[in-house]
Amino acid sequence: MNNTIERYVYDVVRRLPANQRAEVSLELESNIREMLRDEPTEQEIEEVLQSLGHPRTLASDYRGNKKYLVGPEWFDDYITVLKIVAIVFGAIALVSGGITHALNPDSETIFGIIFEILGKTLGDIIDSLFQAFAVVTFIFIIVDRANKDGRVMKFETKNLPNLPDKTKKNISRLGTFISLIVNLTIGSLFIYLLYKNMVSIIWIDGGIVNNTLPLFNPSIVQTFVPIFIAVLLLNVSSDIFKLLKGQWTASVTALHLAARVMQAIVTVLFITQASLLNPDFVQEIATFFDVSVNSLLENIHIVIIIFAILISVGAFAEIISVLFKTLKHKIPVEMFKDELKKERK
Amino acid sequence: MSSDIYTNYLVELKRGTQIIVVLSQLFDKEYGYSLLQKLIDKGVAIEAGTLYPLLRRLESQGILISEWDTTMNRPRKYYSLSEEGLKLYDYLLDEYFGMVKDVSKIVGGKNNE
Repeated sequence: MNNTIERYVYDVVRRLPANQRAEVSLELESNIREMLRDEPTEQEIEEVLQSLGHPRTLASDYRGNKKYLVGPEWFDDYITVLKIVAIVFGAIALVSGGITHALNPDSETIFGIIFEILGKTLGDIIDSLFQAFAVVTFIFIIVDRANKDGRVMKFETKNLPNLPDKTKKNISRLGTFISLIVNLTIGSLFIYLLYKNMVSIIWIDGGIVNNTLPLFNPSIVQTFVPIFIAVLLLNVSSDIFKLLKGQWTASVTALHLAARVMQAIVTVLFITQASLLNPDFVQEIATFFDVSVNSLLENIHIVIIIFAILISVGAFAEIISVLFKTLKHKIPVEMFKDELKKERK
Repeated sequence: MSSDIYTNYLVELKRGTQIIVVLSQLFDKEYGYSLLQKLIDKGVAIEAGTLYPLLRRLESQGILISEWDTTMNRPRKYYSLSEEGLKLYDYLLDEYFGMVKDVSKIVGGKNNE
């Protein structure tokens, strides 16, 4: 009862196309038997099979062509895109999941709520990372297969990318500095006013401050203040990091994109909150313009939707433009030449 | 430098000549194991795991022809050069000798320093 050889041969041929299995099986088994004496010991069989190598390797040699999910030509691009998409998807899940779960907690106790938010958000992040991975991999598999016949791998010299503009690859220091100052001053002022519930419309009657009404619904504002602070800190650290690095490296790009994406998501989530506006304020405005509260709310709603779309499109455009900037400057030949010159001096 | 790198380059260097070695021994028909033995005897051993798939691949490309011998208690698949294989062998052999000449010229013999 010795079927080690048969099992080895089977393990090889089961990895081959069906129409080759019978013949390879017969030939391989015959060759293996030839390598052994008539009544081989298990030890001798073991040695011969080990000399033939892993069944997987042997099968791959029989098939001839190497199989890839994503071939080596595309692998670098695949990893790059995967990283970026994972960061963007992860950030989206973090912010949107975090806020959604924070606004509708099931738990009663404060610790229950914290754990619920952490757990559910982590689940959201893992879900969306898997989705990102699946989508990117699927697209690259298609691209790779499409190129297998050499259809797209032909290239025309006129389609080669332009050399990177030496002046552009550096991050504008002034722009980053201004952004940092604006974030630190106006950003923190805005958050402070929100926190103190002082974002309000002030009515002035005959030079006397008559009445102030908070613009936003205090309960929503209280939820969002810590999130706004987090986004502000992220943006500030992204700006500082940009100033330090001075160039669009992968880490700078990742942080910058994460900050901008989060900012867009938080803003959109904030303005689309159903009861964002203080009811008293809406009432007052409706009375002032002599319209019904409902029709006023409808109009405000349309304006908010338009704003949300504009913010999303803007964020998307920024992501694309930053990605182009970074991908374009992957080959810093000029920098290298400069370094060589410096060394020579 | 790690011995792996040495081994890898040696394997790569040998791989190119494998096909010539195999074709050169197939003017008369051979089955997998007999060819394997022949190559070992002549000092140009090729691993069994490499040789068997190689024979099959050459056959599928029309370089070798095969026939099954089922008269013995164990069936054997015999391979020999096809006409196309003969032409390929001549061509590769010419190229090979040309390369040996050119490479020898450029490296200029080995000095033991």
